[in-house]
Amino acid sequence: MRMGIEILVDGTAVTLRPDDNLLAGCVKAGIDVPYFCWHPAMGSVGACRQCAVKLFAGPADTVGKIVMACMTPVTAGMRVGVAEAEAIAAREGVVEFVLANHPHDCPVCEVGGECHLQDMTAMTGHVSRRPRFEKRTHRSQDLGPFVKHEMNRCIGCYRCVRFYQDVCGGTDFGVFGSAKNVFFGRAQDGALESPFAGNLVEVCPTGVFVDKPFSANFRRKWDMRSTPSVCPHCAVGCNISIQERDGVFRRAVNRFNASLNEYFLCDRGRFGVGFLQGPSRLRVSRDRYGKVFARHAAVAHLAKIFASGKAVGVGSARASLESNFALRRLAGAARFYAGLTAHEVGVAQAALAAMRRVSTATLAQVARADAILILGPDPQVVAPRLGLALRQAATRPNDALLAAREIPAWHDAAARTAMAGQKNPVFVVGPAPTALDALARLAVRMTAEDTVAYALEVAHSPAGEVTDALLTAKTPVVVAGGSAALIVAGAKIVAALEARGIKARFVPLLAAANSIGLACMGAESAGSCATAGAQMVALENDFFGAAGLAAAASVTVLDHIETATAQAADFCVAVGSFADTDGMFVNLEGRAQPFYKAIFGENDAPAAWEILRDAGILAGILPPGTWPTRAALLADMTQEFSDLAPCLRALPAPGEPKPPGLPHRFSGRTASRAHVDVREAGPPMRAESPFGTTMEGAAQHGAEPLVWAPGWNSGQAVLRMAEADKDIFLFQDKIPDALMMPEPPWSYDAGSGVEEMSAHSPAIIARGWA
Amino acid sequence: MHLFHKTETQQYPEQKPKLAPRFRGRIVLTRDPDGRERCVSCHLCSAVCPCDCIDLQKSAAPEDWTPEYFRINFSRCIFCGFCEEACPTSAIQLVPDFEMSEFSRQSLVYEKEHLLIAGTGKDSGYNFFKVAGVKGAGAPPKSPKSLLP
Ligand code: SF4
Ligand code: SF4
Ligand code: SF4
Ligand code: SF4
Ligand code: FES
Repeated sequence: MRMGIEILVDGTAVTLRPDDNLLAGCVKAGIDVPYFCWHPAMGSVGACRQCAVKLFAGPADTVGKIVMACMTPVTAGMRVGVAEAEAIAAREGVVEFVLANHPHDCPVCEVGGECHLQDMTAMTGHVSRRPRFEKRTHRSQDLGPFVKHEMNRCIGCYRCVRFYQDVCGGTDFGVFGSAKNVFFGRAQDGALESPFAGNLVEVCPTGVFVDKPFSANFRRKWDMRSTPSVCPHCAVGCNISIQERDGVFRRAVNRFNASLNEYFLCDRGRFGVGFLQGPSRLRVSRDRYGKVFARHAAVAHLAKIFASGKAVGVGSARASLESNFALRRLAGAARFYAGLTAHEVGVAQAALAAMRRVSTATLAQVARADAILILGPDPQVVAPRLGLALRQAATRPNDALLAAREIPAWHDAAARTAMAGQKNPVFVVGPAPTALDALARLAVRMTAEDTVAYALEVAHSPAGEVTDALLTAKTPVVVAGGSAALIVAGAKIVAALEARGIKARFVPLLAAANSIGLACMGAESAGSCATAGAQMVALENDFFGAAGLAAAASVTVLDHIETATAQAADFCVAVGSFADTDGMFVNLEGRAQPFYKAIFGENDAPAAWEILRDAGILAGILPPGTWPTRAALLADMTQEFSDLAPCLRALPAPGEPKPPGLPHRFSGRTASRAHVDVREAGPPMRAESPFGTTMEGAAQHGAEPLVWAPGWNSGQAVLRMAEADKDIFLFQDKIPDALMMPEPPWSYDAGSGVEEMSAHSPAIIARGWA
Repeated sequence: MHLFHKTETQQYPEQKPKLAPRFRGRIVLTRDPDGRERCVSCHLCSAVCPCDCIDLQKSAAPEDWTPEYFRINFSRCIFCGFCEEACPTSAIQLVPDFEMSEFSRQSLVYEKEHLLIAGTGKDSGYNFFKVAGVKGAGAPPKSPKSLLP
């Protein structure tokens, strides 16, 4: 147990964390106190008055007074009454007011069944309505292709504006009106501009904001299989849950990870995953004339190519470690290239070299950094959630200031007021403006070449405003990207700070989900491979584009989306996407993260590594019986690449009990396939997965893939769940020669922020982001 | 004593039994008094069904909550009536008809077109949207730009 403060709640002693307020502490300790405006990531403002509890002055006090739990610090020995009659009546009264204008429309509300308002209403015990007047109504707005607006459901908790304006810095959404006529929306209809707008769906405790593509593909939360996964749309690798039913992708939701994305995703991630259900999926293997091949025929085709000895493998920064490794093994290390430009390979290699030498920051550490230097492109464009973490650090109330004024960090309004007019030491240096410029103490525009020179100067000379700020900070963070030279220079700054005993950390800005994983396998750019007469095998990448590769004898593509390369290829093999297979990515923090098969369709394509394995065995390159399981492949891979050895920890221990894969209230099982065959097929079986595939299994509270707790149907149930601590960090043993790293040339590319897979998502296309 | 009772045997099927309206037999989907489909795809009936024999899918159109398909596997249904009890719109109702024998179980899978009837069934006046308050059933919409409360 963590160091805690003991207090008395309804006569029982409970231990709470000293940095939590009374509400957060109670909820986490398993005591039901209803609330609306407090949010674990946004703190308290005391606006909704829902969290009323009784506070007694001392053991002799029998009267007590009603206080808002979310605004009350936890002090040793305090006596609190949650189940006091007066407090219960106060809370029921508040919910009655809250519901006075709330429509009676849970059946036609997408949030019904996972609604914080429903949970809280049930928690207060309020059951019947007394007001008889007409409810106030609002006209809802069109907020673009991501978020649907149903303003009548608003309960006025202000979470949305606090999130949109205070956390994300958005300016096009706000609150209008006064008194009981308050409206949360935009001045006019139009798409929400913030790249984090999708979080409103989860931030709002009611159904005002709804995931629009999900609404068109709707199922109740209890009716969907929910599988832990990793967002594949940038190198941050935010944790998500993929929810599916009947083999159809329904939506992606945030999966809480305390040291990574916490409660928020970016819109590219949340809505980009829609590519799974988009029109441009590659679902069958075919040749260039459109002739369809079954799995064994596709395997035979690949075997022929590999047997010819002319195969050249082109790996991918968006494919799993497993598939890249399998391709590398089949093509041979010397004939394995990366489907990236020479510039991109240089950047990834520089990032890898930096990670092996200096400490990298987790996103949570970025969000709590006390000084930040950003070198190069706009993090919010390349890796949006990292941009949000930087924004959180930039607007974060200063610890020393809060301590001096005795303001607890969760006291959001007071902390922000205390910070007014002050800027944290955030410095942005690079060729183009960034979204963080307005928050930075200093934003300097200079050419990429000068930025490199400037960064090296900071690393080597201890003078100047930026250097001073970094030197006086306790946990400074340097973010660099866009150029191998900038990454090396950034790492050198961190190394110089580390040499002075400062806990400095580095974050490389990278674009693709498995950039680091592919870099670990050390492949050159496919642009530099000698192609004459080569039989190219391109794994999940669009490197060659529509132009194809004139000099190559043939191009075979293994992919799950119709890229330009796939359309121009001689042969396409359909393989499973990240949601159809198990696999791992390594993110820009050096964190190796497993994802699991989330979609269970009728004719799911196998993982690329399985196809490649079969082809390798058929071609005689691999001995029969190679890699019967993913575990066997990972064992082989970690032997070859010792950096990746910790990946083995992601495998479930044999005999470990499996939590159920389906919610316990999953319905319609005897009808969903009855139109095809009234006899029910058995459930899909997967020996390798750490989760069961049915509703049965060892229910270990907190380990279930579904975020749920008794009485807590909304995502806020995460407060009641045990914190999973399974994160795997690579590169823990550092090479101590960071300051001597060779300096690569300064070629610079800011990146477009468009990513191959999400660009096929209908919602992303509708938003104009593809 | 039963020996001396008058025999209760009825000459079914020549003589049809008298069934009360509350009899729980074949399930239908009804329409509201204006003739629109009542079901709003809320999934409460499928959730409450103890044999999990109801499956449906909301239409893909954003503001349309009618089901795209609605399927009951009567070979599993135990006619408990929980679905009718759970339904917030009075759409799903059990009617006094038990004559559902078939030669193959597959024929007991009913789709929306087999379930949907033309009338309101037992609950003649009820229209969910008139009371739900989501589609203009409250006061006229307030302007957010007005500062009047
Ligand atoms: S927001 Fe919650 S309480 Fe309101 S209609 Fe939706 S589900 Fe019901
Ligand atoms: S829209 Fe949602 S988050 Fe915003 S004030 Fe209303 S209920 Fe709260
Ligand atoms: S920041 Fe990157 S990983 Fe996270 S949700 Fe966005 S695209 Fe996905
Ligand atoms: S409970 Fe009623 S409205 Fe809801 S899905 Fe079933 S039949 Fe339709
Ligand atoms: S949660 Fe405490 S007042 Fe809103």
